[in-house]
Amino acid sequence: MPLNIHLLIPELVLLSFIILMVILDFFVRDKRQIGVVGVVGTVVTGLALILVPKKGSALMGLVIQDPAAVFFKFLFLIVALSILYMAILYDERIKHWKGEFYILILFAILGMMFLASAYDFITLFVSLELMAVSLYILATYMKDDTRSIEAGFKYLVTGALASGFLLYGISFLYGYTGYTGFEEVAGALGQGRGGFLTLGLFLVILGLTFKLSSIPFYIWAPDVYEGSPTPVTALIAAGSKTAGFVVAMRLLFTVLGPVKEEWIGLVVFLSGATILLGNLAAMPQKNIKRMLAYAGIGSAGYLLIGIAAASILGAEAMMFYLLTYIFAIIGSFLAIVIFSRVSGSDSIDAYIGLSRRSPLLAATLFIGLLSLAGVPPLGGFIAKFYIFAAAVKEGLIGLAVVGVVMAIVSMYYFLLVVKRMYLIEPEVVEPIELNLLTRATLYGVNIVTILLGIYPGPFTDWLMEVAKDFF
Amino acid sequence: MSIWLLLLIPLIATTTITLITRRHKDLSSYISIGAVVLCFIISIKPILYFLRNPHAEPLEQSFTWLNIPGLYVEIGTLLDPLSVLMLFIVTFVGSLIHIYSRGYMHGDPGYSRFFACLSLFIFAMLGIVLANNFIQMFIFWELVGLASYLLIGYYFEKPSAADAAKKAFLVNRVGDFGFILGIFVIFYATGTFNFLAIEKQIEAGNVGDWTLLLAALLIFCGVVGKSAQFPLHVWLPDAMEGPTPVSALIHAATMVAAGVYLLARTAFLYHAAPPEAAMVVAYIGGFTALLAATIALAQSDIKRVIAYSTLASLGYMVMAMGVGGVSAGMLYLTTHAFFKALLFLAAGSVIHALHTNDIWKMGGLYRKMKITGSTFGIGALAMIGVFPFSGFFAKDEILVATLASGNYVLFIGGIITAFLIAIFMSKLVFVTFFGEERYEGHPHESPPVMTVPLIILAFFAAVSGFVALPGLEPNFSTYIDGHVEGGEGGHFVAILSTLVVLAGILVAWLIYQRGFVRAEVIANHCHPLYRVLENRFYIDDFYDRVIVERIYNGIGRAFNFTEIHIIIGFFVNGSAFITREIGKALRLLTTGRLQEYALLMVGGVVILLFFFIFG
Repeated sequence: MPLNIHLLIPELVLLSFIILMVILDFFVRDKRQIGVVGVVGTVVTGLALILVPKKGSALMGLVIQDPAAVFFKFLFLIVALSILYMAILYDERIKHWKGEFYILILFAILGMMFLASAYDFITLFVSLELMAVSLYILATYMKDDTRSIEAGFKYLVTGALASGFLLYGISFLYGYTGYTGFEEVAGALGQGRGGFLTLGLFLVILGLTFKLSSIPFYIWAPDVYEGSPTPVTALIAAGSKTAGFVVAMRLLFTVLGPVKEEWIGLVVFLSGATILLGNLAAMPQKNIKRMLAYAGIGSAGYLLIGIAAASILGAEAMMFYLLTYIFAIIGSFLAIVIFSRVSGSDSIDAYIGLSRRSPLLAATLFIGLLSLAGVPPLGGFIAKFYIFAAAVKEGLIGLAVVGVVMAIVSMYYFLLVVKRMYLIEPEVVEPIELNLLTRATLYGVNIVTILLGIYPGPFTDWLMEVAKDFF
Repeated sequence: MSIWLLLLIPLIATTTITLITRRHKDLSSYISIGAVVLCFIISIKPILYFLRNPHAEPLEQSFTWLNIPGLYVEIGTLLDPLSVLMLFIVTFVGSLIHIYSRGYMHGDPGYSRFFACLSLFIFAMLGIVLANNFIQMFIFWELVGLASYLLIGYYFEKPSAADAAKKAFLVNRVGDFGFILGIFVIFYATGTFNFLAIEKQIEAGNVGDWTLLLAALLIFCGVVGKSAQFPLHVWLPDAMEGPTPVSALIHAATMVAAGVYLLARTAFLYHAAPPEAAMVVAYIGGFTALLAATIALAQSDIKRVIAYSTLASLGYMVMAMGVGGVSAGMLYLTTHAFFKALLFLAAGSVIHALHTNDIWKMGGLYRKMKITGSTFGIGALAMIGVFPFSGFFAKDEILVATLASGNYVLFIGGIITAFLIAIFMSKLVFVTFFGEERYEGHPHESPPVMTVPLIILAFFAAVSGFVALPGLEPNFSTYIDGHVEGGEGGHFVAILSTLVVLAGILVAWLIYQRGFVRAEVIANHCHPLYRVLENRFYIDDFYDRVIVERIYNGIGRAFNFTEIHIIIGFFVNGSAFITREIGKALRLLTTGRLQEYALLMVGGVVILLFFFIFG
């Protein structure tokens, strides 16, 4: 098996830019410029990703490149761009090591990009930890803020615990098959079933649920979402969850697809329970980031429906869901970051009368939240529609019913925010000024979310092709 | 590709005005006018193409909008003689009315909003015209409804305008509910939304008679709502609360004709369905025409009279579709677009000068407003159907088609309607423009930006009927149908209808011009009848008093009770209470203590493993 290093050029480009940023950090005074370099690096990486071959395997089979990997890498780069932009907006609130903030964001993104290509349990684990360790540091970045410290510490300990389970599961799979490469494991699985295989399988799935923030490893999410600096929250919500699902799809569809009767029951249970838990617990929340944490748990449940469907349509639905989810999260968190700069608060009550103070900001949060809720004609609606269609097609009627009912329930807590923004007169009426770039960004994100809703055709057609790679 | 521009340009115009240029009134109006004129220029090419090759195959372009196994929805355009004709009407009349609006709406505070809504309307209307499938048509069908709602309620600070907008919207919902059910019936029977594909399936005999009848009647519900047919006609006269150019464009020339267009587009359905479906269509149309013409006799608001004349015209068109005269109906639609837009715009010019709608406060205006007066006269002659004005040909073809289909009751109704139209239209001309001067103030002719569109429309209102002359190749009916329609009795009908309308004009002249019989005397003599007419047969009252107050409010109260006590009290609050309590209980799991988190996680894994491996 050849090295095929050229397949990894995008990752290498990003790594070079990260090293460049580390060096520049010594000289540059206004650290926002480091962020700008990061933005440039992300764009260049994106260009490299366009040019790189879309099919192949590199590093002797440790990583592969296929259209699905490329699709997810693009998603991660979109996340990187918006998180870097959020971080630049957030810059004044960061007190220490401002430069490293941008660098760590890109390290996490690099980890995610490798995860999208991981084709070996060792690559998988190393990439996962590259992402996770960067995020642990980022979560605890506001070292003067006890909530941030607490968030980071909880994230680290629960994350380490989850990694332990994952690694334990991987060791069982290795012990059973004698391989760590996905392809070899998949081949060896065909020969027999056994208690330790199932045990290893389940431990791997459960270990991954930490990244997905689904049952049983969801419990860190509310504290970490609330306590972390908001750009980091957005990175965890948009990036880390997506990365978790890439791995889950590749592992469960490609490697463990042949033994899918073994794990489908577990995934169906996890999915239903997570949807119920996330949406019900989101209702009494008073902090918007905490509410979005539970909403994110709910979304993980919906995405698990796609895994449970274990079909091409399910994979396609998941990819489309993640696409709309990422844009909804980016829009919502951009609004939250900008608003918290003015108000200094993330409490839902602080959003009272936002539509009077900044119609665009209110509209962005409105569109983002309603897309998460799955309201037509936004992207989130089509995504949920596809997920349910995939579930029904595979006979998972019960799961689809739970999903639909909970989608209606989720309207309640999303509309609570909307009600405060639009229907209640504010005490402070001072308008919030937005500069041209921010306005353009907000418009852009909103347009994408609406476009994904009213004209999903080209995306779904394309993703249908991409989804075939998983099987 | 250029076809898609027809949809893109007005869409871009409306978003640009709404988001960017709304503070710059002139710029906004130029963007809107420019957009519709550009659309007209773009549509010239397909118009010429189909004029040269009237028997060419339809041109269809489409791309996937949604593709889920079992549900394929496309967005597409269908160009055939029919849609190209509509394209011409909408963009041409639309352009003139846009230009006219610049003068008419001058100095209005909501100028930009007005033009944004007009562009939205053009976008939606072109979407209907170009649609190649039912779903797309329905979406744009609702969008024109939205634009119409926004424009009827344009003076939303006036309660009557806000009410009229609401009424139009709600009444249309009733019709559209039937329409969407009809679409589902069709989809269920054929598995597609595409017009051409449905036509093929129906022609192949794959759909049962009952299904066809059901689908035809349900789809006709949409027509009844949009084209204001009895019993849903009540919204159209109230819609005159909107600015006059809106009445001309939306509530006369284009949108209300969309129902007729839908009937022409789905003519294959009514052709294949049992004849009862077409009978319902024809009789509803004929009845609406007669009803509206009768009511119009007793109205004294200039716009309302024209609105009822529009109802009568729409009734004619629907009747034509019902008796199988597709090209006759479309010819009427075309000429009607010109002369009715002209009548409204000329009436607008009068209203602009006098600031009143009451014809009894006008009179003798011809001396002051020569252009408005003469163009209005041409419009009225066309509407009445005097040879050689365009309305004559259109009405004649409809009556010939009705006679040929053997529906003698409808034919007689059509003749009576023509007589009544002749009376009230002549009355309108005599009372408004001739006789003694009863107005206050000093009216003067409108500026050229308003009169030039009037003159252009007057030209078309006068001569556009000649496209139907039998000798032409292609003439109107061979263009639409591919063969010559009509049949026996052409001369008989032409002579009869001409005599009837001349009699009508004479009656109006005797009463309103010569004062041979005083109008008041008639009103007093036939007091009860006059009251009935003045009150529009009490249909609106019936809706208000019985449907809205008794039934609707009764149902409303019942629902209100159910909602407050059962749904909110028990289900909502109850389930909200339960879910909130579950939520709180779940929140308690998140204690914040790390040791407990770890315990919960490990405990969760152990329980899950136990269940799924050993369970």
